[in-house]
Amino acid sequence: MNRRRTLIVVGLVALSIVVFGALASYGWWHRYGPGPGVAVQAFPRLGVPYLPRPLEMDDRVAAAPVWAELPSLDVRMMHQVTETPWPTELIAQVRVRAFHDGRDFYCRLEWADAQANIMTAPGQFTDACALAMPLANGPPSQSIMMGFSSLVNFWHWRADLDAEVWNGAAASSPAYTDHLNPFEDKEVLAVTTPKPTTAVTDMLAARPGSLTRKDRQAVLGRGGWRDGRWCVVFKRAMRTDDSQTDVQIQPGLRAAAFAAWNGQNKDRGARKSISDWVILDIAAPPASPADSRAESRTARSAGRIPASLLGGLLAGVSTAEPERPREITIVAKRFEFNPSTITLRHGELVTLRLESLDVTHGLYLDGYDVQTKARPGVVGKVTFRADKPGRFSFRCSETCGEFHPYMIGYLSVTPNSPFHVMVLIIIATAVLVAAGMFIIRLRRKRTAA
Amino acid sequence: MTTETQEPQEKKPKLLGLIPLDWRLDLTAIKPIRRLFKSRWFPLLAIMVNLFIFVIILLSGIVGGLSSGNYSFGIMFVWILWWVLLMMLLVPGLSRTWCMVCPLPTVGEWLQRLRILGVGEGGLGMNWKWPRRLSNMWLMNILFLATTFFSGFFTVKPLATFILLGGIIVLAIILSLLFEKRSFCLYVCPVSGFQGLYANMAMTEIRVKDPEICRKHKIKTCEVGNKNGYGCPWLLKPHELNRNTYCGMCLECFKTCPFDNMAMKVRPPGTDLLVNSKRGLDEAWKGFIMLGIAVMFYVAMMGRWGFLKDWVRAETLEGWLKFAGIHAVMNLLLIPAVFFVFALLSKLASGARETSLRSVFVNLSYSLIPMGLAAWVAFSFGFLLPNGSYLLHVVSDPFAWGWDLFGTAGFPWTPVLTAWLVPLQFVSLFAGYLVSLDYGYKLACQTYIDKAAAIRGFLPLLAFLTLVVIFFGWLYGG
Repeated sequence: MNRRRTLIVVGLVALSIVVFGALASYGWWHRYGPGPGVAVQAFPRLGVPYLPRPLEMDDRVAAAPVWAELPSLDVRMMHQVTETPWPTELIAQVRVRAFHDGRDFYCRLEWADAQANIMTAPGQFTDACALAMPLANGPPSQSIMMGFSSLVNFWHWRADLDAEVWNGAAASSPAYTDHLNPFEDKEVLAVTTPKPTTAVTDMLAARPGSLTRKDRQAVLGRGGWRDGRWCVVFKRAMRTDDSQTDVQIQPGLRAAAFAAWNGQNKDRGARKSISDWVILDIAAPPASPADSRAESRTARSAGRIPASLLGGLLAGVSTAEPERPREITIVAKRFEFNPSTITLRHGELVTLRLESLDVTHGLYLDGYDVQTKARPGVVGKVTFRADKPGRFSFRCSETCGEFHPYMIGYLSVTPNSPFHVMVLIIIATAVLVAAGMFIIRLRRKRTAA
Repeated sequence: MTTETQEPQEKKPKLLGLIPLDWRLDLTAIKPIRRLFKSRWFPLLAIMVNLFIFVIILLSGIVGGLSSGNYSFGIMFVWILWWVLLMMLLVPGLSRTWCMVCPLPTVGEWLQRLRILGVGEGGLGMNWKWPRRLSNMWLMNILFLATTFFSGFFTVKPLATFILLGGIIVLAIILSLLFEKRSFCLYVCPVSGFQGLYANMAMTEIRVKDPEICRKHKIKTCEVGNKNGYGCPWLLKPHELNRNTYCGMCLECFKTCPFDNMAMKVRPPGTDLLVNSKRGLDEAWKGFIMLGIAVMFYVAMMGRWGFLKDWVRAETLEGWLKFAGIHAVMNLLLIPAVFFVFALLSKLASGARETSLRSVFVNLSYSLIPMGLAAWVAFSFGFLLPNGSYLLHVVSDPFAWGWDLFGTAGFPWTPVLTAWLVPLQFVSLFAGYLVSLDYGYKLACQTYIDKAAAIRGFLPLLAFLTLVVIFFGWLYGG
């Protein structure tokens, strides 16, 4: 009987384990996919400070002292493998520095190259580098070679053009005519290559294979090779009058990518080393009082400040400038906000700009009941007055993945009077309790005496 | 372990000087409630309803739907509704009512008894005795703590919730077949330990009406059972019951008592904290662990630190190991060590040489229970108010198959009363602090030989509790 019972118990135990295992494995094989989100990549970030020190594109520009003062980023490179011809050797790393003077944007690329290849001839290729920037002022797509989120500017510097433009060297033989169409010069309507006026070719692309030289060339570039390293400086006005085809460089975050060619390794065209996206964090120039007034006027005319606020302000002092909201940019990625803590003064008018680096994120602010949302490339904004003191959580309001409910940041409106009151009450309670204890003790002593 | 105060002619102790601690209201004096408790259909019917919901929860973990936990029936019902109900209503109000209706050990118990409704001898189980060395809360402490290491999975991944709940059910079946009665619930279930500890704070209790009747009753049918019901499945002596900690409220004692001498009473919260029975380090550590988990959960889930979220959800193994390591050290060592320092200060300040440091440490640790429960109530507000509206969606579409059973599937995420979130948390914490202070003083009086020593010994505890509540206040809204 006992043996039979043992067998039944063992059988039931085994059965329950098997059933559980089977159900769990069913769940595993039918588990949900990764969700609608895109895998997050931590793109490296390079600070682009504002320095009011314009550079002349002379032969010392690549070695100008200003470069030593700037933060640098060593960007890891990889083989370009989407289009043929594929590279044979890798340029492992490019060091990047950049700044702007409010008018022009400067960027210097530096990489190791044991031998300068400047002239081209059949079978010989020149060293080169390029900088790519999407026109849209938003986070980039995940792969620079599998498609872009917008049109992309390519600034392609070539050592042979540099020598031709800056040093008056004879034009190289057309080794680059077009490796896909080597008989171009024999065509009736051949595409003629204009005489270069700059060492940088400013181009536009929408996807691989769509690279197009722009009619108007707006980028200057100058390079120098010394001690086994190339240093190339790009210069372009931050804003141009052609926002359809020229990237407009403004303070804030902007994506960029880099490429480099080593002529010694017969790099040309698609045979190159490329980087993934790098985020340029472009600093805003300090606002002058004149600028502030101008911007205030612009904001007012554009209706950015709510009419009710304007009315309130104007009612107080008719000559007062309307209050400008303090603008705070919050960058969201799964599952965090950056910055994750915001401190405001009580009564401050603030605009929260929400940028997303990966998927659609929202921002809902507890207590204030305001919200906005952003998706890659589309910034969300919400303006409110911080008129409630205390600490409030702001949380993602768009389901962005498994940890979505826990994507939280804090907004503190100082002074945090609810917390201060709580602490005061607690300390007062503790003091009262302690004092009460001593009074009880004294009474007891007196009674005993 | 404790020394009863020697002073005679004491006033009747009151909670916060307001409610006499011996005040009781017998709910079972109400006939329909008594009849319900004596019926064998109760709590079976409630268990069946609960079992049905749990089947949906389990199925939602393994079939179709979205990967995001906030749109999973299982995740929302377990980690929002159940947890919030448990911490905010069931445990503080109705003691271990959850254990009364818990479906997790049900299948195991049915197999053990080979009966669902009726009462009878025999069954399938091996009926072994649970090992004496494990007859405490340590195993539950470790298992619960270990469970929280995986909170980054259980609270967001439907399959992980299935594995947790399914694993508990399978373990309950196995242990019910091997060991006697509810050994699993008493000594293993990760949920049981903290419920038991915080049930000391409950506003209800199951006790005998008249101890004299039990004394005269030679055959303790509540222990051994009779034709109306089973002997206490929780291995207790209901006729001597004086704490909620280990009473699973299965109501068998109501059915087996021939004198109708069992009662469910309303009482002032926390009176069990003063009952000096089975106090020990295991329960003290449970209190520390619950406090530590409240901190860690808040920091990791409702905190602003993205890197911690990456650790908790095991973005990298190294990160998860750091989380688990810090979490374990904080709960098992750091918090007890800090409390030990204050217990030592208490003993030194009291000047009571004859009172052992161990008894000071253990007894005073019970004053953390109101504070801990309040911290969990405050934490639960942080879950409920912003995320409660997801429940309306999942109840209409439990398997994420596009159903709209109650017309609420399209209900958008709607945070509720979030302007009141931090103030509500502060009020909860302050209430817990006051009750902790009150019971802390009473426990000090129990621990030390005279009142003067108790007052001196209470002051370090006062400082500790004040620091703890300020810390929680800072964490939740500072």
